Amino acid sequence: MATTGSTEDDVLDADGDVGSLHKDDEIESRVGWRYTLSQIRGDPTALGGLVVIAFMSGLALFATVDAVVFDILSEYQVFAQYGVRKYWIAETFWISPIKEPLETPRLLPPAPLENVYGQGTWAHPLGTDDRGRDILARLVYGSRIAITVGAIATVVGMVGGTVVGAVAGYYGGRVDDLLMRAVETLYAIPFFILVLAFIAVFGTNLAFVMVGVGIASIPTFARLIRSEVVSVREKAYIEAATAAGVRDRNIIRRHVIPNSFAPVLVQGTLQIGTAILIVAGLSFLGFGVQPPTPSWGQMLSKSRAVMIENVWYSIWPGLCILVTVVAFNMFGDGLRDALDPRLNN
Amino acid sequence: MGIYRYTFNRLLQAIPVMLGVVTITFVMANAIPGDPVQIMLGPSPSQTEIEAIRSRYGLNKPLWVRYINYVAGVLTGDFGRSIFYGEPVTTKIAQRMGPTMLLMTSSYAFAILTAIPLGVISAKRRNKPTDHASRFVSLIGVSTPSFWIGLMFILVFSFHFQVLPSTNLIMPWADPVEVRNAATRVDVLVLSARHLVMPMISLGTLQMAALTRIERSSMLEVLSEDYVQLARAYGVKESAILRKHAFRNAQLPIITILGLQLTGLIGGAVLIETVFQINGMGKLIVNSIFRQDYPLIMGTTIMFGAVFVIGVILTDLSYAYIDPRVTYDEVD
Repeated sequence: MATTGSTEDDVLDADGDVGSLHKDDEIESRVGWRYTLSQIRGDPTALGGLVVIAFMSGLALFATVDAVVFDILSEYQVFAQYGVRKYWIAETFWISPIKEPLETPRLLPPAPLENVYGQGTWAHPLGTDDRGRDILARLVYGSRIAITVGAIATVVGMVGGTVVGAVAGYYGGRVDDLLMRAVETLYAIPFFILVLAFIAVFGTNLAFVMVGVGIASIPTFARLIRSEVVSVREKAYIEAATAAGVRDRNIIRRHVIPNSFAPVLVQGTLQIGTAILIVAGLSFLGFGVQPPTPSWGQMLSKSRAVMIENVWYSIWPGLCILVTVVAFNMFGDGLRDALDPRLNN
Repeated sequence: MGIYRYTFNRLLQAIPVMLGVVTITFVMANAIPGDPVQIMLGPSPSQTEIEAIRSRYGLNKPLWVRYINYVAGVLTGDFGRSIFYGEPVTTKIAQRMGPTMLLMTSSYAFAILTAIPLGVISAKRRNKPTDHASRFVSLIGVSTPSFWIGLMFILVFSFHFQVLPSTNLIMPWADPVEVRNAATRVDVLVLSARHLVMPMISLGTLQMAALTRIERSSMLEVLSEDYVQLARAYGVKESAILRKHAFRNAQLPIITILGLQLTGLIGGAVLIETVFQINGMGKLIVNSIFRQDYPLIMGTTIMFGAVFVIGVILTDLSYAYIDPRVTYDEVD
């Protein structure tokens, strides 16, 4: 039973009002969504963040189609006969981001420090790396890793944390104690160290990096949603649902989680930014995506060796990370202001 | 409840948490696919070699016996031996602890000392250009990868202007005789500070930005309290209100956050140590992952967990110390 703590008085109070309370809550939540959207539309910072996120996601989608989807499709004769292959779009309309083009002039935009790579041209607007690969192209293809890894890792953490937190908060008592102690123990290992330990065990494969970052963020989400659920479970509509004989599983899924989800959504948006920073850090250390697949963190790591000759190489990937994470933070802050007017300062 | 009793209870509460950390670490280390002995000995070891290593590291015993042994070892300060170095893990950690602690404490000091004034000014001049500037700085600060800030510092100050060294951190407590270009203790301190300034700011920026945001909103909240309004109504000067009425009360959320922010600081330290080639715990854990040196990975993970847990306890204690309204019973 959910309402273990409720007394007879509570039940009596709730009884007369169950229907209308439920209705009010529903109206409130619907208005809430519209209100949220209108708030964000009127918030230039949040809107700016959203535009950048959309742009970066567009780049990531393009890169995924060109680098991954076409690679898979090229295995099939149906598609291969039309010339579908990895980097089809890039090779047809642009330059090769991965292959080392022979005889490519090694170019760079003008740099404040003397460089041996020459002047910038339109063919390579941001210059090339130490192996003659176009930096702009690698940045575009690197967005795929940043956005997908950030999003997937966050979803893993959000789903895991929501389930753990909602179950703990809803049932309370011993279940709560057990789950939250486990979560706190996980929380006691610093985030980055936990991810490193995870990688040490399962390998530096990208999938494990995503799951590792996701698992490490479970405690944040679990604690957040638990604190919400503890108050939501005392609401009259939960009691009504229990009285109507709805199963606990369905109450949690249909009523408890949707009504406690707002802060999780805000935290999720901010967490994508954090996850992008973490994954970039891991790539920088050499964990995660392996060369030749480009990622921003790995590009920064490679740039260290040629920092003096190729100044801009170490600037662009960092700027990309910065801009993307700023966008997620701006949007997340806007979302919080819209969803939780109490924090609106 | 007195402060000693509270401290004791708080430490008591940390025991199951630390035991959990040790357990998680042990379980993870034993979930490794493949035989650690194989990894240690290379491609084709002889049977006797394998047996020798197995009994040396106690790997021939059942899992739960190894777990009990490991926990007992940790309790007596024995984390096993590093496979790569052949030395006890504790020796290795003791050697590397100094630089990491120096880096972390100085970064935290930098973060706190810049965040508090920034946050206070921001709150005082709410929605004025100063506030916008400070909020912009903190937005950029929380979004910039610390290791990239480090790289940019090296680019500008080490390579371009050549004013600050980018590697070989010198400890302030190093013997002047062993340090190059240093005759006296003062020389060593100056050199050390010059080495430390770039890693310190790179690592501290994220914390600084996060703390500025919290300081600002905390100050704004306190400034809207009734007693502040009352003080204003009595004609108390705004500067006096800030200093005497608002400031102290606004610091409480900061203290709570300080403990929790340690997790980010520790993660950042791993990256910053790699960028500036500081031989600390962070570089140790990264290198041991590449070398698959499991006893060392486990040891450093547990130590980082301990640093974090102790940090949180310290902030809890100082919280109760600073706010006289909080009795030791309430803080839990």
